[in-house]
Amino acid sequence: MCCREDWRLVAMLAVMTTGCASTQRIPGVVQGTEGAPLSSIPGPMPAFGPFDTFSDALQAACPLILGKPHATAGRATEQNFQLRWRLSREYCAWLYYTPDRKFEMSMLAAGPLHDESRKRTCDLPSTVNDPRYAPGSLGYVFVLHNHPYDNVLSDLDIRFIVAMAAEHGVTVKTQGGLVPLSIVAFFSLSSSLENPPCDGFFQYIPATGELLRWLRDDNAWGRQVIGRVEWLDDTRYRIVRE
Amino acid sequence: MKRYASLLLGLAAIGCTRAIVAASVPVEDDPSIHFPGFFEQAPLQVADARQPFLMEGVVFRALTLAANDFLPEGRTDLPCTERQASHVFRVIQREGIIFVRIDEDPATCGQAHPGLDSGARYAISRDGRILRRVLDGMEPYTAPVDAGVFEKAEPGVSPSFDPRRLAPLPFLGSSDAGTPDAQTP
Repeated sequence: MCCREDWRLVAMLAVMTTGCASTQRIPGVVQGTEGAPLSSIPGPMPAFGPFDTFSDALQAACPLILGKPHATAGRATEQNFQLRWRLSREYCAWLYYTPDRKFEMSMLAAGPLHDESRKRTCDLPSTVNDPRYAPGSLGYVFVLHNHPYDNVLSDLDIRFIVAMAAEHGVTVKTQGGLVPLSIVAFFSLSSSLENPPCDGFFQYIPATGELLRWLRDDNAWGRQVIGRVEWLDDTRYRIVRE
Repeated sequence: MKRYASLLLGLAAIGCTRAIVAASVPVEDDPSIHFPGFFEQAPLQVADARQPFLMEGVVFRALTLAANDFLPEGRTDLPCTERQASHVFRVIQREGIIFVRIDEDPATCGQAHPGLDSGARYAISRDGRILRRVLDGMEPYTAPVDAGVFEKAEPGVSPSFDPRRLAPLPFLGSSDAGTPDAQTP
């Protein structure tokens, strides 16, 4: 196991020395042409869904996103963390509800290549283009992305999902009832370079103000309210940690 | 093997992070420093000021330090979202520390929204040292001593959401409690 990890490190070196930022296409990832932002994100993600429940879809989306190249960086205290962080990359997608009463995931957008920026960001278009359905017929449920480790949601994560709530609504009507729109940041607690496990995620739900932390333990999921976002008006808010 | 791999990776990293390394200044990481809420108060905008806007040199230096650290310039082919001029800067002075928050100004790059996790916060001393830097998406979760208990639940399900009792949502700009999405199937 240790040798396998070593060879993965060497593979990382090879990637870096052959142009640093690989321009190789990543399955399931789409990017704008010549740096232009995407106007919409295509869907669905091939071989992903559809799912009957959003919980099942979330559980499938987490390892898929964390398994993309450099989606995690391991613990900050570990050897190679700084390098792995510099190589790390953020991916983002929509989880959406279709007229066929199923949950699907869009393709992934990806942040800039690692040697160009200190930012670990991802530009997600506000709409999904699923050619099977008419524009405007989709329900927008979750904004999904990864954080390199056990990192809380940022101010811009909060502000982005609130902007999406203003555009799409704070809830989505589904067969199982109303579902509140939210943003999710998946993370792995593992330092594994290959297929890091999905260990949890952070979630903010604008309709309730809840900031949640989720952890997976022996295939069971547990949640904890870690704070609330209190909006003072349409632009000002405070985060109250619990 | 691991030792050599790490060494080689370190050497390679020097080449791959040239833009960032070239502009780096010493960055301390004092976790005892807590950042103020940058979005609790409406900011005083320079563009709105009818009177001259006076800024101390130490504040200007702090802004410059943060901007050059987060958004190193010098390349002619920088993407729009990497240019300092495509960002907004918020400053709060508190207890001898100058806190700076940097965010994308999406309109300058023809975008509707800033990217997820595209900002950063800095705490800078009045003598020009970066005491703490937290990039969006990189703030580690630290559990409070009296953290609440975990309860088992299906992933993604809110513990309190009740569609019959939606509270007013000020971010929608009115007393709108969040009308269900009109676009739903």
